[in-house]
Amino acid sequence: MSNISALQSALSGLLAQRHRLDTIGHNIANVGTEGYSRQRVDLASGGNGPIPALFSDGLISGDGVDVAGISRYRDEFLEVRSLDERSASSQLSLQAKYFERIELVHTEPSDDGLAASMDAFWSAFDEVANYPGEIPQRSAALEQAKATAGQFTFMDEQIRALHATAVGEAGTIAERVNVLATEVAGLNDAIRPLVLSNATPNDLLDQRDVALGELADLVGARVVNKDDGTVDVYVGGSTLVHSDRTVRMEATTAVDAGLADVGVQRLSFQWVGGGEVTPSGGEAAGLLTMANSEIPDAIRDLDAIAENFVNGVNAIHTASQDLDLNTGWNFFEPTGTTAATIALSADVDGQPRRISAAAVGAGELDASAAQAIAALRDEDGGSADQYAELVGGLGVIVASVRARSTAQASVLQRVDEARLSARSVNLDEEMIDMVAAQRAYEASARVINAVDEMLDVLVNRLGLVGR
Amino acid sequence: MSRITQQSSLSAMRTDLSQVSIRLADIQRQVASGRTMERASDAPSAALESLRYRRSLRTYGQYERNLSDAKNWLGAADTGLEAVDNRLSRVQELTIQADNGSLSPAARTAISTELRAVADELVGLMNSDHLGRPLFGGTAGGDQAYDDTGTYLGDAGIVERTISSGSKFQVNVTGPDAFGTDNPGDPMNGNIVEMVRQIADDVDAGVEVQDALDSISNSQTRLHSAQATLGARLASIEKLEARNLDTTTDLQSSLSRTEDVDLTEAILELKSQEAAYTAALNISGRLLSQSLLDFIR
Repeated sequence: MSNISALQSALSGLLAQRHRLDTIGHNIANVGTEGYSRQRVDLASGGNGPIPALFSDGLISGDGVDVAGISRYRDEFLEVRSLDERSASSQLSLQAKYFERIELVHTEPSDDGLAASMDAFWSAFDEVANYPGEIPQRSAALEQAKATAGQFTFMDEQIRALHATAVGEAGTIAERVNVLATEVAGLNDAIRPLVLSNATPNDLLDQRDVALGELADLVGARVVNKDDGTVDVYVGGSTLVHSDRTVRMEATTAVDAGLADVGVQRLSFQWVGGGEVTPSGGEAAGLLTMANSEIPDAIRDLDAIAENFVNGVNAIHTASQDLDLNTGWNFFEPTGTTAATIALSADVDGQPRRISAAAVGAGELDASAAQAIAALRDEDGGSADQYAELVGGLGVIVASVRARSTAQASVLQRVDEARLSARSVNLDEEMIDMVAAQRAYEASARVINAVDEMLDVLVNRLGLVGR
Repeated sequence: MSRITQQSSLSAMRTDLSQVSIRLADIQRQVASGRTMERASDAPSAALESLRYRRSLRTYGQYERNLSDAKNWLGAADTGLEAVDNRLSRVQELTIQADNGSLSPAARTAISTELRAVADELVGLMNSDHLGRPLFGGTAGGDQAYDDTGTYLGDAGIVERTISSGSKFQVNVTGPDAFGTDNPGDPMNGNIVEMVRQIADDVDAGVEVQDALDSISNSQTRLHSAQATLGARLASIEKLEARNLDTTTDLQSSLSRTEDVDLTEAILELKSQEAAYTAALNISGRLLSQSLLDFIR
């Protein structure tokens, strides 16, 4: 063993500890960076020495330390789990958001919602019944009918606007997915050569993880890791990203037979090359559920009430007689049996005398028909009952979706905390490591000092015995 | 949890703080608005109850209007009948005076003239109206129940008010019920206008009017029975109004129990949430500032 070899070892120690300090500095700098995984320098003792040969002395003390690599600390299992939970959580929270908006359209219980408006309509007919010969009461009933019909239409428009919002949001999601897919493909392309050349592109991997997380949020993307360091991304079984290539997707709407009754188009995501995307989770799956099933159902529910309301009033009205003993007038337009089309009929619009308040054959001032119409307010299974059912049912759905969404969010929170605890930087640890690296550096320097002093003895003091 | 890191503890703190502040904001909103729920989903079953109470309140509000309108109608009809009764008594007096063979022609003329005036007055009273609608004309259209000759123009229609779910209340009596049926062939057995005019003619002609007293008394009996009917209806309307008021009050207190915040409870809850929030902030602040950096050189 030579003194020169000890110097070499000490030098490798100095370099290795400097490397450690560099990495500690990098970790501390990224203590708040999203998606950052802490890094550690992997050290290996360089103990192999020369290849045993005829004249080697057989005593090998090793020659210092090697930096074997820099590794990321993270829990792969938790990373995958987090992606799954994120996609479920964003799907539920999006659905909860839309359900809450549908509920807001109904604004019940209150004194100015549809229930109150329908009650005001029945009351207007009670007033007509009290004063069958008075034109002001009749005109007021016509105005109130218009107001109630307007309320139906307004609510219908609001729900439809929600569908339009969903379609718009789907477009934004598709755009964002394409951007993220391109980013992942680009990172794949950058990472592969580095991995193949045995480098450790840790920070690129972290960036890619952030993009993959967002993809899980948006479309419930699944990730498959490849040996060459790249990842493949799948959405609903089809490839979104493979190596450095991506398939683009877009949101489209098309006429659909199942939705023809409510007159909205079916929302879907399509691969640009053809074929439908079936997202298994994420906001995209939530949007499809809302736009293609829940929002149309909300429109249908309101339509059913409008139909019951119109038909109930018309059935009595057409079979009764007006102030001039004529009969057969429709009160509401008989074809307008949806919330969007409900309207006062041309028969009575602007013609208060044509409100048929009297039973056929009775006197002009008979009011039994008007009373029968007003009594529809208490009809079993009538529009008022139906509306109460709708509001109650919606309340239960919103409450349960919200509860599920909250529960899922807290599951995600737990998983994320566990994930962060595995991967993120702890400053105390870094401090301790820093002290250790500093001390090791000092010790290596001391070794060089010692060798230097030994050489000094050898070079300058040898052969000076007795001087 | 094996490792606690800056990010994981920050994230946990953020979640905990936001949960506490959500609870705080929720209870603050309840105290400020005085209502336990804003939307149906806050408490679906209570919301359904509240929806039902509100509907019933609006319905009973309308019944109240119907009842008070019925009361007005009955009151007006009662006044009208009373005035007619008053006039009939005068007819009775005049007829008794006329039933005296020794009356001078001038005195007879004076009596018959007054009788005719009373007959005209009766036509007016029998056409009494309530807000422009003849009270005793049934459901027929037109402004009058009787024309100037005392002929009934109305019909036998029933005027009703809806006073509660599924039940109606008749408010009118028709002219013939109160004042007798038209009978041009035999005015003494016709309605009261025809009868009074016949008496006046008889007085002028010097015909014996003794029998007319029976007809008058028959008319009075009929009128009194109509008055009794109206009086009974008026009494029951008042009871119905009182009951309606009770129901409304009950509904209001039920609605308030369902929707309104119990302030004592809510403010206690607010205080405890406030304390929880302050404590959470305090602890978080202390933990966040701890670091090994303070202790190594």
